[in-house]
Amino acid sequence: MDLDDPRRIGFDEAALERFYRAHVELVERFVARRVGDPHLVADLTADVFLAAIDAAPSYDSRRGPPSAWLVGIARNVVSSEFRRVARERRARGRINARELLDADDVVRLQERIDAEGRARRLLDALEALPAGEREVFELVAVDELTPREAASVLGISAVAARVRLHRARAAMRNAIAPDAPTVNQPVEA
Amino acid sequence: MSTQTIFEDRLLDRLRLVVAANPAPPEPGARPPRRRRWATAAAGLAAAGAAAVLAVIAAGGTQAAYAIDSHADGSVTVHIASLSDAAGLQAALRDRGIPAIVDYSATCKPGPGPPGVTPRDKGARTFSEVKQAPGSGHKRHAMQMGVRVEVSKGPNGASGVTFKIDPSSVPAGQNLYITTYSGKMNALSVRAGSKAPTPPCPA
Repeated sequence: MDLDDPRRIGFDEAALERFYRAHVELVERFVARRVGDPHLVADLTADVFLAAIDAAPSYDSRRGPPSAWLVGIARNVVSSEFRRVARERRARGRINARELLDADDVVRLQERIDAEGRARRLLDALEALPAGEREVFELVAVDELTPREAASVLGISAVAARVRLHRARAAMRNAIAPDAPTVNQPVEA
Repeated sequence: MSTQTIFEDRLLDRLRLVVAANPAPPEPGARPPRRRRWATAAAGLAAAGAAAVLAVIAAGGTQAAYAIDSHADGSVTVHIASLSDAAGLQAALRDRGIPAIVDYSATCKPGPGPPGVTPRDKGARTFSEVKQAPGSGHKRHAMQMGVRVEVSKGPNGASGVTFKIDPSSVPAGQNLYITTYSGKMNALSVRAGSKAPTPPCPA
């Protein structure tokens, strides 16, 4: 039996630990790109793994690697609708992750948030894009998935993902060009 | 736990508690793959929330006699569906550090009071007093010999008794007795003590 099969994480502690250690940084970074509060990063990271444990039987390796599956879950967890559900779940007494933070952890997570700050600003600029294009661009440009992985996360074809990515890149170039310095040469006085 | 642990280690410990409460499926992967998109499927499953953890245990072929869900704060939720596996429940609770003694055999002593009056142990209440109506959404707190127990309906309105125990409320050196004096669900009692309770027989 494959210990690395994500379907086992719902009931097998050893499989959970391997899966968790392999992906916890991925999840923390994903969350830190989207929220600016260390305590919320802690809560949402816990929520992502709790949701993965619940959803483990639905994992299908034919649809992509475990990391893409987990990113799909993380997207849902971080979306505002899902945050409300997660808050309710915390209220029912599962894991209140922010209670697990000590002062060093908060500083460390804040550093992670700061490190992801540029990506977070890019995400803000992405808000203007159409939803379909934004999703693909976000996963490829910000989360560094391949277009094929992004397609499997979103449940669309690889071709559709590439087309949307192309459009989104063009739109983003136009959007950020006015603010970007055009040349790196000193300005003539 | 070492003071050197970081948040990620502590979170893993909590997640392990959640997973430890889930039994292995009879055939891992036997479930047919869902045709929904992952993102949607994940949202639906996660939205089902904590209740799903209990429900899963009772599902899968034979009806489980009990289900246990561990919570982050150290408390556990116990659902007793039938009074058929006292030894199993006792072992499962002890695995979670709760000094439980589970005995469903009907034992009681005649009350010393006048006929028709059932004397009570100090502070002890049985679940029959907490009216367990499936689906009623009824929730009451009962303070039983110093042990904080919260009674609620079972997962998906399942019949039986569901209660939440905070292990830290069991005094050191004492056991948590889960007993019934009549052999029936509605006489189930949860109390801490240093020796097995012999509740009075119903009048």
